[in-house]
Amino acid sequence: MSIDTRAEKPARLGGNLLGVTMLVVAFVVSLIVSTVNTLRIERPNETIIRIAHWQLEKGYREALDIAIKEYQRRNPGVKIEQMGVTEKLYNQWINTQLISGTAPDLCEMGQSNMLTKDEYTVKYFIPLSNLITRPNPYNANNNLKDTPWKETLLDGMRGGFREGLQEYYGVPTTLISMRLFVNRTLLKQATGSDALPETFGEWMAQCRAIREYAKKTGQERSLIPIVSCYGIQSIKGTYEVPFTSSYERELDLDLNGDVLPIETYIGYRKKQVTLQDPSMQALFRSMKMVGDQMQLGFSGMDRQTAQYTFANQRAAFLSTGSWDASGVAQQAETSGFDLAVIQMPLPAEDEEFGAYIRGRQNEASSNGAGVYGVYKNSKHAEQALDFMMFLTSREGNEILNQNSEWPPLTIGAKPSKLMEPFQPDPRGYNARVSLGFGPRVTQVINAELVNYFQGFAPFSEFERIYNEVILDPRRGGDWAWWNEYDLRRRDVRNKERVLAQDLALELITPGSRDPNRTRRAVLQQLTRYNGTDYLWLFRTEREADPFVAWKDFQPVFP
Amino acid sequence: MLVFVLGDGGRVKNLSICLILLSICFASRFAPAQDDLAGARVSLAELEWRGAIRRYTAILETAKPGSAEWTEATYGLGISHHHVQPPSSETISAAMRQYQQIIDQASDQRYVARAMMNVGRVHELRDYSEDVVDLAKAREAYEKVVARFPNDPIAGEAVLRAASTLVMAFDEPNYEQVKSGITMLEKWLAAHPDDALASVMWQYIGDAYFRPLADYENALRAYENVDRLGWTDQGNQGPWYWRAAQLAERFLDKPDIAAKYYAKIIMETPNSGKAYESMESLRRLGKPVPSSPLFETVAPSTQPAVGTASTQRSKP
Amino acid sequence: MSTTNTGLTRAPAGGAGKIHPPGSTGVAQSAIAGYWQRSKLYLVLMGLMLPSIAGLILFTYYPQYGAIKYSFFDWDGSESREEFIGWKNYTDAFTVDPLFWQSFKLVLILLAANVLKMWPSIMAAIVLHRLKSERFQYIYRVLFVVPMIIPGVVSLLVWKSFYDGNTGALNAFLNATGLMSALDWLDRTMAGDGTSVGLVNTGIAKAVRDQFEIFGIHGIWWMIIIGVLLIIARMISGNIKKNRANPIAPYLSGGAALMIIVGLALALVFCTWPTRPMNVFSMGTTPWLGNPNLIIPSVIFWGFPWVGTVGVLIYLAGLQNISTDVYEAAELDGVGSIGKFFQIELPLIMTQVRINLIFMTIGTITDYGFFLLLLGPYGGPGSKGMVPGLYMYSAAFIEQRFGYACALGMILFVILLSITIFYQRYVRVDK
Repeated sequence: MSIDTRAEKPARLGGNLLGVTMLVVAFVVSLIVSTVNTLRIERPNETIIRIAHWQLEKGYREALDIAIKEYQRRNPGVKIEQMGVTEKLYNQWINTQLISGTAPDLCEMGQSNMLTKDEYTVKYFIPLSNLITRPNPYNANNNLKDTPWKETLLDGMRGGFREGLQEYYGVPTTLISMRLFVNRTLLKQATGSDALPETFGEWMAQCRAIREYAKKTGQERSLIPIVSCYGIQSIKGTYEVPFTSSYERELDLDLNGDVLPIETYIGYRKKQVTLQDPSMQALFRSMKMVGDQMQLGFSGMDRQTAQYTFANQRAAFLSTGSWDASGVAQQAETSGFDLAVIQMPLPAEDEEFGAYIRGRQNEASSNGAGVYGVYKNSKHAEQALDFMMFLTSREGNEILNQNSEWPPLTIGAKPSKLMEPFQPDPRGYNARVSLGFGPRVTQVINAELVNYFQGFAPFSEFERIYNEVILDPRRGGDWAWWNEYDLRRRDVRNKERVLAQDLALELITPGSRDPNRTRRAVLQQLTRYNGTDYLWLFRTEREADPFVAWKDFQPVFP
Repeated sequence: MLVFVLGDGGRVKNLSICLILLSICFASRFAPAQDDLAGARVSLAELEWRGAIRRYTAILETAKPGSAEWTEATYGLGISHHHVQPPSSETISAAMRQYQQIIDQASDQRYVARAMMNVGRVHELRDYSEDVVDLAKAREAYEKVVARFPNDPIAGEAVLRAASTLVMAFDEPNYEQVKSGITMLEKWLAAHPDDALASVMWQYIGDAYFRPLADYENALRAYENVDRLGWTDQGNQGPWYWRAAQLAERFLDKPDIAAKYYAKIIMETPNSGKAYESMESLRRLGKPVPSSPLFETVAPSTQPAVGTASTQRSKP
Repeated sequence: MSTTNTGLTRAPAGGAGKIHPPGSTGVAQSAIAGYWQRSKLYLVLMGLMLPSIAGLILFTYYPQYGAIKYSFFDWDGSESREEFIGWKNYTDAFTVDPLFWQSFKLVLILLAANVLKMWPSIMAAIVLHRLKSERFQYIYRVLFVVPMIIPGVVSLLVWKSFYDGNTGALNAFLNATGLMSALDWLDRTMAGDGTSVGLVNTGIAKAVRDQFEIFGIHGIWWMIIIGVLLIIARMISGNIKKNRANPIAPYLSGGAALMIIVGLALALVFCTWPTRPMNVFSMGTTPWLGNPNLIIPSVIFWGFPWVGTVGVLIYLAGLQNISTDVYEAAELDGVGSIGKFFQIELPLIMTQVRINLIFMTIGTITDYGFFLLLLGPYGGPGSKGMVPGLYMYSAAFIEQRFGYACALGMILFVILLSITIFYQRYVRVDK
């Protein structure tokens, strides 16, 4: 082999020089830009706060800009820069920013492990528990002026609470809820009246009339009564409480006001609830009726197609959430039809399923969304927090949510006209029968029940497969029970870490920690009994030895 | 750098320069950890156990045994070993050694007390697969804390932990250990009604009476005590209010007490999801229904909230 | 200049000349000097490769090590649940959830379909290669390459919209051409449950369906299985015989073809799989991704006409290596177009075919993104679209059982490795 690694004369670079020059120029330009940006951020006379999020839906950025301008007007010398990052990239982008120490002062929490997992949250974000108990100064002119900041939000700031850390790490700014959008123009065309359905029976009657109209006008293939952005499961979710809340008295063993999946499983095994119960059948049959009014094989329809179909006036009813409202409203305006928003109608007393309805699902316990955390290394953490106070004051929250057409979160904040129907309704019930106990059972429900709703399989087929899985000792309810026991045990152990940290820091600097936080963590540990209560429950309710039943699972500990 | 090394001119000198450069690059990796208590505290605050282990170990190389620095570092090292993930028999054994050192040599009794408690925590909780849970040993450790520091606030915590080792036995059918645990706590509370953890204790007692003992009378009595002292998990006590109300109304025929808790749900925990049902219950009991700001602005609805099905399921 | 002279031994400008380690004799000195020069060269080459190797180790092999390690752990992706459980994840995969192994059924069907779907690319490459005009060859090559700039996800979403029941192009085409009615007729007459009238519901057909079952599998399906086994036997015998005459090869090939063709025909006529009429074609709004019985045909049909750009270019590259002398000789021998294909072109591109076969197999077994986008994490209604890769994804990101998912990945790896070894040894390229 003969390789001359030492050429006597450098060859002409020719065209290669162009490539090198471009590289150098690009490098120099990016160096200049990033230096200028850094200097801008660190300008001593100006406070610049950066706020990052992935809400690129129509209206949100503009609304946040309006809120920012108002805040800047009240706080001269403070500049706030909005950074909207596309949802698909937000994860990688924010991870890089956090690790490199250059994250924005306010980051929307979610998408990334670094923002959702406790071990990272505690590293990168400021705990807020001690700060949210004081009143919000931006509420000084309304009846919330003496209310602790936390209590001025409809969800009590629960959206920002981290159970594992027993701390608040974020401030939510909006609420989300599901509703039914109605094309009143099409409704009038098809049925002769644009009256909104007040009952389930009326709704189904309107849907049948739309089918008839479609047949008469040769639009059988293209006109559908109902479409849903999230399939029929999202619609069924809103009917579960009305149909099954009456099981609460029998199934709520711990009297905590809710029926946990494990309690449903216990009830299922003891035949206190079966799939053939009249109220369960009423739920399934009513959802089958809804499925009959959707597109044939609707499980193949995705969110975009559903919205597109509705926007092009080929569906009269669209089920989706508040986050889509402004987009749908704009599409309605463009297409020129009259849009209305209602809650999912329930069967009336004298209708087919009326006897099984206890009442509507209440939305009082919904958690807030649009949660922002304050970055620990922010140079202007106080100012950033102040901005969040403004954004969640009655006035600030109105500005943000009225302009973005999202539901406001602050108590008393007026929603936009479009958002009025999305306001959480605290009237109603909350307990429901949860058939999905364990991931494999949930998979069966998602994959097989939809076959029944689509009319491709009889209910007996779903019942057979469901019973096969839920009663399977290796992958059904018993496995899920073991999993819950294990998670409970680990939860106690994880809380022990946080508790140990708290107590150690209190020893090092007495008075530095909130004693109530410690007491709360101790209480939460104690009430989980290291998981032994689930063992006891298995022995007494399943009437079996868990260590025999779970012998194939690991780890299981006596 | 390779050209440097391979070049014929002054290659030994160039090689030296390269090696020095390489060393500088990796110097920080092999440099001794900063013996900086402040840095260790930051690691602790961020739950960064491995970093804390490194820092505390470095501090202990020079700290004088028994000094304040040594005490803090030994304790910090102990809990870092105790909670580093994933845990193993080596880390837990190391933690126990550090705790024992604190117990034997530390002059600050606060650390001694906490180390003794932590010994009990090690026996009580399973840290890794092969770890053995010994509730009796854990109880023994907690009782030693009570014996040594009877007048310190930590004694209350130790009694609570000792009692919980009995309650969590759930020893059906007679639940003797559960009852012993409750008795232990009630005795302590009789002697120390103002204990810092009194509210937590009463709530725990109430839960134990409720389940597994199904002694609803005593459970309600315990919850009443919690209510008098103030609930620890403020904002999340809704489920306990509901439970107390249900016990009072459905099992003990005490409508006034039930009404009190229904009203509390509406006024204090409207976000618990039970406010509306509480209003219904108060109407059913013929009691006044307080108003709540949550219900002041409600979305216009096409339907009433309530249907016809009662709380009993419809039979075919 | 000696063959071992690397040029490094030339005197540098102002340099010291050749390297002579002290104390060595003349011949030995040369040998040592040569060895030293070569070592320096290798050092340079290794140094240049070092960044790539480091990247490979860090970003490819280290994660694989992590996957192997965590397959023995009960791990939820965080530090709080990470416990060594030995072979438990593997035994669970084999004994607990049948869905994992059921997902291989779909993979087998897709493998068989994808083998057939390789042919349009081969044919397109042949046609392109035989174009006489170089200008048109170039134009068509560019036209084939242009679609490559479209991201795969976009193409997938476009196809998803094709499959939409109401607005999809596929249904529009079928309705416009009357093929939808034909499908509806087939659906009603091919039903095996006796509810409709047709040839397959005569007494003889029913009798055939009800009998001839061996070990739970109908005799007609056994014919097809035997045919496939004969193909495998043919491949193995070809490998054993290598360059010697293989007298049994024609019998094996013929037997395989007979079994498979007759078996398929009988299956079609007597409808030896349980079906019910789907009743989804009559309205003209067939839900291709919403009906559990249509998911597999939809997945197979995806990508029609299955002329993959990359495949065409790879085959074309292989075809362009064939010398024109071979074609001239063939023409002189009177070999026709079809003869040229089977006797010249196909044998000479078998290397490329084999490479594509391997990649196709790996892709079919490991792919999950396609199914996730098209059908969702549960594989669509009835989990009919569940493939092993999607099951693995679901175990990791839906159930939060990362350790179990790693074990499933390891099982897939072993299966793929076995198949690859099989291909390497028995899918021979006889030149």
